[in-house]
Amino acid sequence: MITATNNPELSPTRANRTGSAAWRIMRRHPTGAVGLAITILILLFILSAGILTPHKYDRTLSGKAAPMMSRGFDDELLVLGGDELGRDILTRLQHAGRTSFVIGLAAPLLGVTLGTIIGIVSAYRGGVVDLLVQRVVDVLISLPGLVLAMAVTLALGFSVWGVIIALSLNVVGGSSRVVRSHALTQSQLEYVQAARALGASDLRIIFRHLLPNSMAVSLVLFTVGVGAAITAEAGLSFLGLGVQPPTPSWGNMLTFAQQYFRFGAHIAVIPGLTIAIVVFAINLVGDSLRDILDPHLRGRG
Amino acid sequence: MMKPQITSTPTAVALLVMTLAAFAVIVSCGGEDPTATPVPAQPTATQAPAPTEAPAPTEAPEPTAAPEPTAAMAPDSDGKRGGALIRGVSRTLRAWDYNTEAVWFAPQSLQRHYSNLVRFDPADGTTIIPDLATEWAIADDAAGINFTIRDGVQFHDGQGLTLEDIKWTFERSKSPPEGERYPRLLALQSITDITIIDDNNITIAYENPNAEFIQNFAAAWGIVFAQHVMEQEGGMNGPDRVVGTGPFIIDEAEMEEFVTSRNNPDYFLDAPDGDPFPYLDEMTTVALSDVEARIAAIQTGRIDIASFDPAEFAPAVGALNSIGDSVRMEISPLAGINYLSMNANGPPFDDLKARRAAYLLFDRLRMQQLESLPTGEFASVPTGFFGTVDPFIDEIPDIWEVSKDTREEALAEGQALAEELGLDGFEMVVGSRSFFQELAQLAAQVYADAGWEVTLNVGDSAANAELIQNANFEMSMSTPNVVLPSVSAFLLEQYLPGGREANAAPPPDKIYDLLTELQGATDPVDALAATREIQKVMREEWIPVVPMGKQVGSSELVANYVQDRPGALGQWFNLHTWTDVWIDENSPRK
Amino acid sequence: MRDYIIRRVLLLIPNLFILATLTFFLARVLPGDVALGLVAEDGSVIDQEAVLVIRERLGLDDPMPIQYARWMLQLLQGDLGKSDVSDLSVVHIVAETAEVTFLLAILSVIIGAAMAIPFGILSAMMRGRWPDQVIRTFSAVFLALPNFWLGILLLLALVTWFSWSPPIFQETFLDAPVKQFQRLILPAVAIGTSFAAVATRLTRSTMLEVLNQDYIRTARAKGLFPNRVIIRHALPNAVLPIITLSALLFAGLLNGAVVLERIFALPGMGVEIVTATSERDFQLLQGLVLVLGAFVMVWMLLIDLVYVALDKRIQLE
Repeated sequence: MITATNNPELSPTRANRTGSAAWRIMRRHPTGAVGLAITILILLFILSAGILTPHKYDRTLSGKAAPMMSRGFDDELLVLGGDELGRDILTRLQHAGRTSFVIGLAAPLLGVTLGTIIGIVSAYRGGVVDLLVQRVVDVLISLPGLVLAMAVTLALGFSVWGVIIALSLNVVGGSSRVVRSHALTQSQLEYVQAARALGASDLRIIFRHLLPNSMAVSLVLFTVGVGAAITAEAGLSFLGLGVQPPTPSWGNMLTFAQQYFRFGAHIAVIPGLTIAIVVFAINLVGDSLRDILDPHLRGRG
Repeated sequence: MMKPQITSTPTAVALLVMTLAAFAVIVSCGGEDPTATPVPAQPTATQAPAPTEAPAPTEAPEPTAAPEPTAAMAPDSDGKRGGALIRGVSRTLRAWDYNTEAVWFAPQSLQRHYSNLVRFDPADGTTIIPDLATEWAIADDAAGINFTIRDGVQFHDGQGLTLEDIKWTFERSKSPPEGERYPRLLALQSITDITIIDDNNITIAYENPNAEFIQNFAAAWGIVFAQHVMEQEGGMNGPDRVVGTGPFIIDEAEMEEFVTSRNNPDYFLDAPDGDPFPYLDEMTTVALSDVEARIAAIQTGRIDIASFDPAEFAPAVGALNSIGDSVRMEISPLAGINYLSMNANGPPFDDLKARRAAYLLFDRLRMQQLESLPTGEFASVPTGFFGTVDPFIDEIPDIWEVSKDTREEALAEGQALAEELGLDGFEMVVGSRSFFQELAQLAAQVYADAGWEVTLNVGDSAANAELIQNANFEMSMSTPNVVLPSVSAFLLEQYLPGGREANAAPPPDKIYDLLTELQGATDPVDALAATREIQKVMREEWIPVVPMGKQVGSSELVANYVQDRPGALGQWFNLHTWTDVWIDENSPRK
Repeated sequence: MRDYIIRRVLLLIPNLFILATLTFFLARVLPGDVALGLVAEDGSVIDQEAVLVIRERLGLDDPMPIQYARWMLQLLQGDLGKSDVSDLSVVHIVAETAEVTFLLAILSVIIGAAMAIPFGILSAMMRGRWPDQVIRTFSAVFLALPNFWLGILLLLALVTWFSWSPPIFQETFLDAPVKQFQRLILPAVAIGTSFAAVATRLTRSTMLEVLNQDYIRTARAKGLFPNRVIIRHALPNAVLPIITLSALLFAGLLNGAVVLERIFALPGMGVEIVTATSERDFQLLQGLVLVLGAFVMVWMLLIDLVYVALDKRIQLE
């Protein structure tokens, strides 16, 4: 159902003309450019943790839920106010952003990589391997991801890595399915048949031909996964099964702030809005990337 | 081929709309201008119980009949009768026989269908008042109690209550059926003999002299069952088996969801107007686990009372501030404290000196400051080892090492001890359940001030239990509530071996002698002396835990609700049967 | 065609076997067990004796392979077992909780589709003009909002501005359809908007494809009313992919249900799964996840078959 075509805009032969190509792509995909700009700004904001504010992320500076632009116990300025424990929200947003971005990038990276490998091998080997692998994939797709993730984070002990592995499992099933159907059409193509006739080894065919050709699909799946992983982490946190304190993440900031919502809504609105803006921006980038790489994937979840 | 045509303008518009919407919510829900300094809310500020209001728990019950509770009430009951009250709680029940559960959710929904032999006066939470028994007498050796049971009491199914039912009930608690366990009734296993003397008198004897043993019969779990119902095929397998002699009859119920009960017209206690209690026609408990949903429900009049766990004190105060005059807040003090358990199974806390260092280095004034609410209220107050049941709670600032006056000295002594033991810059793992992560994070900061490095290990209940079981920690966050309001119960349930602190240091032998002295004391003066001595030994020779603060208590937001007597709702572990509660005409359910 | 159906139905058997195995191990990887979960509920008390008694009664002290064999044997007899905590049969609990969860999922799909189809069509027809841009932007925004947060904000907004909150008592849909609808509408909107976000894009792109087809162009060129063209030809083509999408996203919709049932105190399967997980009620957790997974599998199969039947263009493998 889903196929990919090679898009001239990104084909390797033109790779060295990246400068002008990038400019043309930005001209054609202004939303993607805006998304990218927001993402880069947020990344800069996160990377400036420790520089932008003098505060520590785990230190109570003021009373609970201190208002924006207020002063702490020792006259520290809290630009965005204090959180549920009176810690500087601005500083915490930066540190939490690290956690959320690491999860947002690593979980789909891991999931899509695994999914790609499984999909390609399954498509290429066919037969019993394909049949068996696809049964497991069927099961993975039919389970609500959050349920799977709950069990895995608990098993791995609430660490950032636990959450990453848990959320990556959500991606494996779906992405291996998409990559498989793409690889199926590829392995029917003449050049693969030719390589096989010339006696190329399986590994060589997979690594030289099938894998590079699936990269576009995988890349699109990855960008879609980034935003999804950041919101999924927030959902896990809400159930008390996300990244545990004292490590901050946007998701657990949002969750723990709920109890103090009525003392000052800013403490819940700021992390919530941050998640929304970041995911929005990343999705814009993902959409444009999808348009650029593969018009046929458009709109297919 | 389609090309996306969105320009950046709508993007900006969308962000603007989102921001506006979010700020609209800030303005209208935050209640106040977010930049303004929060003003303490009048109703809550006056109702947070000061330590001085704490009841004196060791007061031995009078071996004579207490006054009838109706005596103190106004004779006028016009407009009190009728109506349905709905109370939103965080959870309801998970078992029809709530003796099988240790959790406190179940009594909130089921206890009103039953009677106890005696009960705690809801006004103070400690005085024993009559229930099924009109009189009681504690034996001279304090190892037995005689109860005189009132006549003509009927179960909801019409059968009369007999002394056999009472005997059957407590024999069941004494030796539970195979595979059953009644975690809150373990003390009743020391019952040695239950004798029916005559038609109205029953004597219950127990192993060791204990003047406070009667509290076990007043506690929420010490209810009297109907033998003929309990012995039916299948036992307690549904709401139709919830048959007691209480003021309410169970009507409709769904596990984990709600319990609706109706007025018991044959209830044995009479209201001042001459008709039986209760005033209400109907009483419902409904589970609304999410705090915001519970607050929303009381704000829109879907419920009359919203009940909050001790850990939900902050959102309750926040809601009161933002909702305004249509609700008020009531606080029930609890026999509960927040403390850090120390793992004495290995170094360093197997050493009394190290425990003392940890005890002194915990700056309680700093903790109180960190915990204070935006309204200026304290979420907890300084405490000793026994929370609200500590009879010397007024003296705590004097006897307690880290008070305003002695703070510097105590911290310095703690530092010196730590240095002596090579514990400066000590790195430790503090475990906590997710539910108490806020307190654990604050405790970590207090120790960080003292130069100790804390690694938090936060997990859900079962994961935390495994951590504790494997003794894989240095300290662990606890916030226990004790069922019986007494020092001896606190010691037994909490700190002594066999209690909850599985990894606590073993007590010096003196403690056992002092405990026997305390329990055998029928004279309150002797009991106080023994208590004071116990506390001294605990502070100087034992230090089982590091007390952090006494919980303010469970809070309730109430609307359209009135009760005849003064005092808080007292619903937690103290018996509240909702008899003298009524709702005014403002309620849509009157 | 018939072979294809038979093949797909037969494949359900190994799928269910793998699902049952996975659910078993999903429960066993959790730290601790029900004995600890029960005992730990009220603080740090660890009554060793009680823990051992509970473990023995529930057979949790048996070696893993024996427990696994017992679970499989039990399933072969069509028995999902009893909850370790409440002693109620899992089938009974599923029967009590399934209605809410599935109603919520279906209502979310309906709300999502009701937003997606008109907006998707409008977006496609107005392609490149401002309505298209607004719709596309909003769909991206709704995709970005964590749905539990949206749920809480909706609740707060209604309470603050309209003094309204959902009814608090659970009734079956047949007994009190209006009340039950009021109970479900807020969480359904919260879940439905993120579904709508995806579905709008899908509708738009499908519509664009359809509108580009020759016969529509011809019809339009002939001056036929555009509305009629859309209703007759384009709409049916847009609905089909949304049905497919609802099957693909059904597991995802249940994710939303897990979180939102908790906020709105809906006694559904999601709440039950979270409780079973935190209490380490293995039997209940396994049973619920198995039922949910099996349902989604069957649902996806049915949608697939319908799709195959309706859409002749699909090539059978």
